[in-house]
Amino acid sequence: MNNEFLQTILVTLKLACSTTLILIFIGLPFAYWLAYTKVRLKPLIEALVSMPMVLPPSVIGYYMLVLYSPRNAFGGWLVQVFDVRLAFSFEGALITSVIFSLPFMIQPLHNGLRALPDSLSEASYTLGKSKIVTFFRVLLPNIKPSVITAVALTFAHSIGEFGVVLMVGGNMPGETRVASIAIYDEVQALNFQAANQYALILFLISLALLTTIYSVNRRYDSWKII
Amino acid sequence: MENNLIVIDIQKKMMTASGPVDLLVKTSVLQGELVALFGESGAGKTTLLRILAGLTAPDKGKITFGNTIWFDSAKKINLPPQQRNISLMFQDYALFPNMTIEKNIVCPT
Repeated sequence: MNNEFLQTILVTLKLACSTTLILIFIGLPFAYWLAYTKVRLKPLIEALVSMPMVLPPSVIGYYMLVLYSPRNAFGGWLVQVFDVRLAFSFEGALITSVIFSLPFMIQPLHNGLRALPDSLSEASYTLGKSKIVTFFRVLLPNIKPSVITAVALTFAHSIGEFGVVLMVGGNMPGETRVASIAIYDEVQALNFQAANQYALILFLISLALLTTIYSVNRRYDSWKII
Repeated sequence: MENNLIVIDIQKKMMTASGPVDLLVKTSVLQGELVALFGESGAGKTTLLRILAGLTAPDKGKITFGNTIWFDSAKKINLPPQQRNISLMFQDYALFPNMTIEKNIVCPT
């Protein structure tokens, strides 16, 4: 029982940490591109990124299952070339989780970058700094609250994921069984004590994360650009 | 150093509060010369400075700095701001809020 509890928490943390880490690498360049692009399809791209916030997880989960299916092009290609089946695996759940948490990473970063005056990057360019140096030395340090919000929200959101992981990953102990699914399971089995443990842990982690976001953002409130 | 003579001959369509305006500038700046640019708001003072810095591209024309061509619409040359030896003081100062005053000053080096 205790072992199973630790295993589930471990899987939960592994999924949330991996999701957040992957999304940092995807999110930073993507949010930068989105903030400064003049592409006409931008509203459509923004809408697609935000879709996971309004769609039920089961819809995304369903599409991902269809995508992963060996009977379809992408899934078939994966099986043929890499002998990989993503449905009901940790990796499959991870990819879905990345897509599902995308807006929580992109939106704060995007808003942060958009709120910066253009003159900051322009001044940096006239001082001879390249776009990449400008991004890491000027833009990113000045949207620190947005970065913290994005990372913490992404982590908090993916740690509490239920629907997509259940749809795509199933409920396999040690592989795809995360805390939120375990709660549901334990309640179904009338095992309230175990459910209570999982629930309390998720509650405390999320509370700690959100409190961190709000206290950090309050500290930076006085730090506005004139 | 290069020959310090800026030659400007450019044309740019601007959108101002009073509608579209054509900005036409043809002038040159000599070495050691101190030049003041004045005009009513919307006349294109900021636009000209941004064009010189490379932050805005003119529609047509040529800008040379000594022997270096900064902009030439005929040859499709438009040197990015990083490669132009020019500094620009922004209207809103554009100081980097994440850096100390010292770092702001040292930053260009």
